[in-house]
Amino acid sequence: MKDEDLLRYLDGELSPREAREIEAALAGSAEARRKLEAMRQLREMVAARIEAEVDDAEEQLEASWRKIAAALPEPRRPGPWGRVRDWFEAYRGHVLTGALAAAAGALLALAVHPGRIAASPSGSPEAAVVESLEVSDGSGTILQIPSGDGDSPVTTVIWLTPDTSEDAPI
Amino acid sequence: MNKARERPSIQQDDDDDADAALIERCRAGDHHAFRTVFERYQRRAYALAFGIVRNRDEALDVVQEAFLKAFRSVAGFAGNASIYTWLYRIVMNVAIDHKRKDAREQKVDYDDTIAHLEEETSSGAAELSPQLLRGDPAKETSRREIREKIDDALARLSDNHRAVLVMREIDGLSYDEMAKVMKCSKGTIMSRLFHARRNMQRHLLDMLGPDGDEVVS
Repeated sequence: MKDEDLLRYLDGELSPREAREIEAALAGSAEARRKLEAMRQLREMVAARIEAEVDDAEEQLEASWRKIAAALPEPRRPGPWGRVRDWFEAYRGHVLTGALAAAAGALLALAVHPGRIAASPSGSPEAAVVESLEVSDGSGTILQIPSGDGDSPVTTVIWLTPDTSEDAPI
Repeated sequence: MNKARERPSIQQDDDDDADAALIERCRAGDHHAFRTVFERYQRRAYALAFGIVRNRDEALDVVQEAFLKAFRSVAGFAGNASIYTWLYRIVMNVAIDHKRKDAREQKVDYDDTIAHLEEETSSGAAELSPQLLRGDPAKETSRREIREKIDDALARLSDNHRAVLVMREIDGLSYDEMAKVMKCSKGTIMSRLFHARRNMQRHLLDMLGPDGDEVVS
């Protein structure tokens, strides 16, 4: 067996058939088994030495980032679509909460006045009026649902959602 | 440790997908994405840099310069190579430039190609030794004298030999991946790895002694 093949076996670079041939040869050669073991020992030792060096340099590597960051060119200003996407990324929670609140309000309206909405003269349900607002510790949604009652033509639902994110104002 | 040595293919695919997304964001100038790239590859980059320059301060300089180069050239990253082979290539070029610059400053005629050839032709035995090293050196690297002997043995290898040894033994790069990093053939990688291991083994046997030898303490 050639030493090069032994190393390719050690490195997992042989096909399954070639690997089986090497294993059969290894079974019949104590010297080849010792060489393989010696190469494993070498691998472990080199790895242990370099890993220890990397561990020792960990803090200085972290400090390197600060120098790299200080030298990076300023990011480009995003275009209009990029700004919309960035805004959505930043306020994704608020947008989704508002949408859920609106959907919940619409369902509530259906539950409270199913007949009224179904029998809308225009043939389609009257839309609920939705407004969003920001409050100091979260966000809110105001839903104004036409009820058709003489005394109270509109049912108002205020839906407040506390902001539980880490950077919420205290 | 050697977490990267055995990379399951599914995990590797996930990493590659995540890397591709990061690269896209880096192309748009996103510093946060680049910070993630740095965190993900800083240890590997440092290991390779240290393997070549063998000095902590200089290896840190190499890492810093290499990552800055990577950020500036990310627009040219084709995406058909994995991010770590691309980064490794940059680290390796910067590290070799540093060595050459140092050699010029010290007025030493430095030519790694010649060093590499000399090492391969003057290395004596053409086979691996079946002798194990004395004791358990991998577990004794915290001992200063063992560490120094390993460092001395590494220092005797050429830059190319140390580089393949680090890429293979620390990161488990395949022969194909190393060939991409070093821009050479797979056959050249196999030859370098064989000579690196054999020479390293020979130097360590000289310094630490073979298993059962009572001479070296």
